[in-house]
Amino acid sequence: MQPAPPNDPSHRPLFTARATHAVRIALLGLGIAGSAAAYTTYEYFHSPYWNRIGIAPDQPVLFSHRHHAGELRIDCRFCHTTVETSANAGMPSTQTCLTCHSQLFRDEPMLRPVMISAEENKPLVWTQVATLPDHVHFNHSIHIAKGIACASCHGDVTTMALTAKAHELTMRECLDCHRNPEPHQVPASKVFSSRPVSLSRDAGPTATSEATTLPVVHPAPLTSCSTCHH
Amino acid sequence: MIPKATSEEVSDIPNPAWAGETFASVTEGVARVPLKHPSPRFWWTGFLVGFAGLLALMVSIGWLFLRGVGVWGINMPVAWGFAIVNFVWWIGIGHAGTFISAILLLLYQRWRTSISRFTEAMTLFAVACAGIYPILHLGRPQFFYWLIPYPDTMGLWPQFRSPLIWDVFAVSTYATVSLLFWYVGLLPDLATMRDRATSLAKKRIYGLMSFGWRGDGRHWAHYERLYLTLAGLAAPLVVSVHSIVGLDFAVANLPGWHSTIFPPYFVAGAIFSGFAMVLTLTIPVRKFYGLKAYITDRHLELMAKVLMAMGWIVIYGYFAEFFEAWRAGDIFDRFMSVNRAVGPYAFWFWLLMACNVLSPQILWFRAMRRNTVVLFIVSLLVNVGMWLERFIIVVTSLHRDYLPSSWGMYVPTFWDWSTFLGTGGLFLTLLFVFLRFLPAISMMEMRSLVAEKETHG
Amino acid sequence: MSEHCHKPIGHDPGPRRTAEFFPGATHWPADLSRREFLQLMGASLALAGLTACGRPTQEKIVPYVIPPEMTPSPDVMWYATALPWQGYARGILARSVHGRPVKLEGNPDHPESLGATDAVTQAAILSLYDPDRSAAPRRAGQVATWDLFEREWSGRLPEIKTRRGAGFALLTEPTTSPTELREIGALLEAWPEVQWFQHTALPRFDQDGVQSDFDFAAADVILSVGSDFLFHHPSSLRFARAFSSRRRVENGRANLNRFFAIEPTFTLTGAQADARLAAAPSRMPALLNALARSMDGSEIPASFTVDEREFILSLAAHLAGGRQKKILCIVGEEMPVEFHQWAGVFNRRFGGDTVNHTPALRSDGAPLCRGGLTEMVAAIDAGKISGLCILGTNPVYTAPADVEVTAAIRQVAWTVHLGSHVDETAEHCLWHLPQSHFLETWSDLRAYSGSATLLQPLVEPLNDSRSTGEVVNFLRTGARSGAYDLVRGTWRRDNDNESDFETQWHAWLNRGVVDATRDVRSETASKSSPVERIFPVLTGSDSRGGVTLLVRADASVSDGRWANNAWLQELPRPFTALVWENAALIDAALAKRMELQNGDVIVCEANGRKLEAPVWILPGQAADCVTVALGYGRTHGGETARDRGFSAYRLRTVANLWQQAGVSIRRAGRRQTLVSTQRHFTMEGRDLARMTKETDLSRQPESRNPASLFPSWPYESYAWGMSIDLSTCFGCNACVVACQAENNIPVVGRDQVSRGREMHWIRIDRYYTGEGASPRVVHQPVPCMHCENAPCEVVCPVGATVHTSEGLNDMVYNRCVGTRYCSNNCPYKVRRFNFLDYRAPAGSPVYLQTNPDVTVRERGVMEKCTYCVQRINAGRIAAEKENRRIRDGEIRPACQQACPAEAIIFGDLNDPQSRVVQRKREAISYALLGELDTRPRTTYLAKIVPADVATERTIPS
Repeated sequence: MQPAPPNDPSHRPLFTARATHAVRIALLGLGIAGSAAAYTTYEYFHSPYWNRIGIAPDQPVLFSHRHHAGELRIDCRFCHTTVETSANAGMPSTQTCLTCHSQLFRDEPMLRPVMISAEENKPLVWTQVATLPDHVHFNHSIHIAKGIACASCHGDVTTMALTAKAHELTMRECLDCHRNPEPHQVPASKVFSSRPVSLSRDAGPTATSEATTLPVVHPAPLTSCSTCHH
Repeated sequence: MIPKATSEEVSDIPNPAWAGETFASVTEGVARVPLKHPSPRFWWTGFLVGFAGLLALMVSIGWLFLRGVGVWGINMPVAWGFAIVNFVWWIGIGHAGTFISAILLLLYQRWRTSISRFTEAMTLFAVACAGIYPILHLGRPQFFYWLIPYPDTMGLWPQFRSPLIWDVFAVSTYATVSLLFWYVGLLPDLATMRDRATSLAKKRIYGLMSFGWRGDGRHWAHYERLYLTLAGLAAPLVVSVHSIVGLDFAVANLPGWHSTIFPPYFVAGAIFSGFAMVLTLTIPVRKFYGLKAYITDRHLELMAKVLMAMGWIVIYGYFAEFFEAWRAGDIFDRFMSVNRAVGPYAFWFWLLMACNVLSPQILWFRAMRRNTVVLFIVSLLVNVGMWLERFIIVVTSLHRDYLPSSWGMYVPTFWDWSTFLGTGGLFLTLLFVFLRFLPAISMMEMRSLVAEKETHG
Repeated sequence: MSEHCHKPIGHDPGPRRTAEFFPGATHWPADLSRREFLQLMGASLALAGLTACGRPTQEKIVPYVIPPEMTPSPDVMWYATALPWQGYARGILARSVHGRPVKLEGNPDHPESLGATDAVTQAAILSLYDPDRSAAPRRAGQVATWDLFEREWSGRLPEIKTRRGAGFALLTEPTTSPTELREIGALLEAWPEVQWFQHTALPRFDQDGVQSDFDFAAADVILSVGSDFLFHHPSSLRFARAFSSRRRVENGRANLNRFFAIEPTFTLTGAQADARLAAAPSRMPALLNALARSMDGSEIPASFTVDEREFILSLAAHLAGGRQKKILCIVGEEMPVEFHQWAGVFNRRFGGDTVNHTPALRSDGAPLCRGGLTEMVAAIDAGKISGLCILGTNPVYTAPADVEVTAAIRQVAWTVHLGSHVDETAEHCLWHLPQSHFLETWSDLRAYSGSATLLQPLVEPLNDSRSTGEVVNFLRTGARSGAYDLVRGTWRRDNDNESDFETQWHAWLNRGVVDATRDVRSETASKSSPVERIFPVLTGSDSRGGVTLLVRADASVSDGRWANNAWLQELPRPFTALVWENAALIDAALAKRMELQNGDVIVCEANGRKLEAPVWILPGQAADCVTVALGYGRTHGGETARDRGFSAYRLRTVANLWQQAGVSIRRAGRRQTLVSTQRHFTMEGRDLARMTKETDLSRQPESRNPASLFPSWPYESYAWGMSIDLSTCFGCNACVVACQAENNIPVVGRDQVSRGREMHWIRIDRYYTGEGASPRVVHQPVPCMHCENAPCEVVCPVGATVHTSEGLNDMVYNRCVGTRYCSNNCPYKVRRFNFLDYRAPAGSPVYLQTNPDVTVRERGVMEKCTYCVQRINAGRIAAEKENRRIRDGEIRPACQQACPAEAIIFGDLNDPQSRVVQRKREAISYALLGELDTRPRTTYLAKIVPADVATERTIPS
């Protein structure tokens, strides 16, 4: 209980005042640092950097959607041929590129990879921009059929010189739409339009005003796990 | 700080002062263990045995993470094996500490003073061992944090109807409160250690740990209020934790699990095994560190009585299970009961009965209660028995449930055993580190007993 | 559909694998040495914590350079072709995704499939990707090339030509392939001296050139003598469909046939019998004679047992008053010929139009053929053969023990073996040539009923292999011509004009059947047999003490041809649920007498030959009969095939191929663990697989839904459910393999199964009920029940298994942390757990088979039947695109699609017209363990037992 009596020669304060302060500050700092670390981690995993938003990966060819889809107004389906019929949107075969480029800019160094691919019958190897994990089964055709615009998930590619991810494409984003699809549906005529239809609900009313949108006959299962995970 | 007691109670206290103890002698007797490190051979043997086990645990966990839970004997239908058995067993052991310090404190049971510190430490270490298993037994342990509610990018939360989620909260709360309770109790003694330490380094370390405790009036006033509050908080936890562990089973619809008696029956079983473990540990420790003066035969006898009391509640649990199966007449329950008694695991069932039902009955005799050897053996048997009880509950219920086509057997593998013994190693290691560096008996409380004696003249 | 074959190239997402675990552990071999472990432990421990959440991956996309011709959805294509089943055609539709063949389904247009498949057909897709298939020709054990072989052959050609083929022999398997037979014929025509032999270890399905066909849908009374027509017959799928049509309840009524079976050992067919008599072969003649006499009103000898007496009286009673009843008798191919004659008489007396005879289609009895192995060996020993071509058969392994084929082959100077694997025969031949899988080459085959099918390839050969037809053609011409041209050559008439033929050709390929008008088969049925109505008196093979050894083809690996197929190896065998090996099946009495228990090894000895085999006690086995299955004890032919079980060929003799009396057995004094997926075969008095008397079909059902504290779920759109008919399910296992193929279910291997970790999502529980020499067997398929009050859902801490708005019980692999609590709480134990990493090692060709619509599960996650939710989603998407409801029958889970007996029906419970609702309305529809109030969506129809046949002792009360 009581420390040794004061007349004890060995009695000397064990810790100087400064040391005591140091310890107190250290304890406090520990707390602050801890919570700061937690917060930073949270922000990092929700950051655009982590999700590669706006970061265009290297591609074998410097292909510009802004030029092709924007300035030349080439329809999405010209290259992504199976987007209406199949789960995969489909990537253009080298032949597809050559429909124009067998004539235009065929000697441009920028197009060398395409020419080589055609000559050597070796496919071009693109890097996927909008990737979902393997345990997610996404089907393009049904989303198109139900009036979800390309831009809803891919952003406005007509402004992208180099194609980059426009949305996080996290499960929460999918669910936001699946829980309440109507606001995100656009008339069939606008599905492939370059005008961006953002995932935010405000785009809704105007979009659904036209009757040409197909209703979701049985929306209930949209939020079932097995709709995307099986 | 101890609530005032009436004289006849006092007369019942195993008062060290009768043994001619003074403040100084008590302090000296207890503090010399960490400071002077007596009987080092005992310590080193114990510590090294424990440490070897700890290494075994590390290897087992490494192998487990490399290959998956398939390295264990679990299968379909017996999808839970040693991991859950050990988890429940360790958690159970972890109950004695808080029971003794908190509940007995609130019940004015003063004989608790000399064993409370030690058992609280034991509680912490047992909970530490138990806490490992729920994570290890996951198929994908790297995702254990999905059981904790946090804002994720999937917009998902845990499934709160599952008892496993309740476990997460119950066990972590229990661990936290026990730790606080134990450390708060340590503060004054840490100060004493600081003052008695010889080298400056030791003074500084103990000094830091005692948060500058000076023992003046204000300190004591706050201290006692805090300690009682914590005791109040801890008391219900003793009941809640194992009730929820019991619910892990009771909530399932499996014959042998699906029973309302589980929560109380599990709590009793927990305290039963807890006290058994306290005896198993205190008997050698007080012998080798010459603490007989503080942990007297009287203490052991009282613990033996608690042991018996709890034992009988457990026996009632066994009886109730069988009686219900017979009375309700559900063919699946009946089959399960019969299968336990005569099925493939009958030997272990009857061994369990021998350990938990028969062995404690010897404690009816006072002589036996005071005979440390007998007491030690009985406590060991009860520990084994309680482990077997969990094994029987988990395995025999699962291995033959509803569809005979899916019946199977459970055979533990090498890695089941190495993990189990490994956690034993972890437990011993922590325990011996504690004995080496901290006062195993609350000097402050013992001194207060001495003080009482003097005031009572 | 089209006949173009696609290489697996192009934009292929490949198999779906979750890669959430740290790299070290995801592709971890199932067996790992301690040393490797120590090496990797450190690293992995470090990684263990870090890798929980990964940054979105950046995968590569590889488009076509030149796209294939486009169909609406280029991802999935269907091709109509056929599976060679012992030389007969089984029509199939093959599903190809991104150019990878991934699944085989029955072809509804094919007469022998009718849309159904059997287990072997479902598993055949795996053999295409078998890593052990021989990849290149070998000469004297050294890797060689086709060019080398071609040159060597051309070197020999002149001599053969001059000698008109003398000294050259051909050994093939009997086949119905018009093209192969045409090529062989052409060869024999060119060189008349060539000696053509045929060999198969399996039975022949015709009696001296006449094959019998049966109308099981019409028959009211059926007598089977050792026949397994529901399972082991070229027409088994058609028979099963017809037979089950007479066992099914509809609106409380069933037009039940009466099925009697006499057999020495359980067959899947016999297990369906209303009255089954387990009789040793030596006993059968007496029984049939007594039956014949009793029909003429004479007494049954007093020596007969109660069982026998009851059986014969009951059968005779049903045969009496015959005209209005249709009656037929079928005899097992393994039975001696006089039994078939007896059946002939029987059917002439009763059969009428339920039996008709057609000329044999398979080349067993081909006039140009010089015989089988015995004749070949004789010819070789006589030094008449200097060159031998063995095409697509494996005589060294499958020859009877008393034919010294190995020595003979080694005598021949120049030997060639064409086979899919480097098997036992290849080891003894100079040349080994890789044979193409039927999914990678052109061919044609006939079904038992006669109609022909064109076999078209889905991929170009994965290895440098060729088809039998190609090789035979090359032998003759010395020049290579592709199988495509050969097959077209067979079906093209000279007077065809190009375009007409093209259109027809396309039509045949699309439909999977060549239309009959073009059928080159002669329709003359043999009327040769005189209308004899007097039963011949059968004389039994006197049982010279000892036991009778019965040899049968294995239910999974047949004669060993499927031994390297892991799906079939891990498929629980009927009645025993044994996997990965065979055993000697004995009856309980014999076991008692010899104090044998399951796994005790016995030594069987017959005329000097020995065989050691572990025993398995099988109820319903005839007294003193030991049944052994062929196809095991392989020494070559693939990692999976090798060293499993024992080879029953060692005791087989030409004289007694299928049954051998007077075999002495004794204990070997050792034990051997046998691995079975089911350890208990009795119901322990529980109401699990329910049986009901024919007379109780419209008995009012007990109230389906006991009171529940849970609010019931609302279902606006669909509510999926399933009904399984225990009367028609005969336990053929087709559903089990179909599910495995559809859902990427891994094979775990013998050791893991022995630990109780098999992964099949649907299993077939087998229970033996009733006493007597021949207990009744009930087969109960158990998939996930998709309970309304699912016990698994409430206990999952992370919500990885949840109820959907359509009543499915979802299992979300990527959310599962693996507490396994759900499995503990599942009363049906249908959940399966990845205790280890069961995926094939990375880069294994097996991944080419994986269904991209189903996630490949990683280690540590739970999985279970999903009602094939990927098919439901596909169906829903198709319907939503057209803004309509999903039609009844539009979605069929893999198990339902495969089932030949239509025992499994899946559909929408909200649609009162759906077939599944019709079935669930039946009074005998019940929920398994309904008293637990789990409210399963999968319910059962009780097994119907005709009261007037089965003796009380075989029906549990």
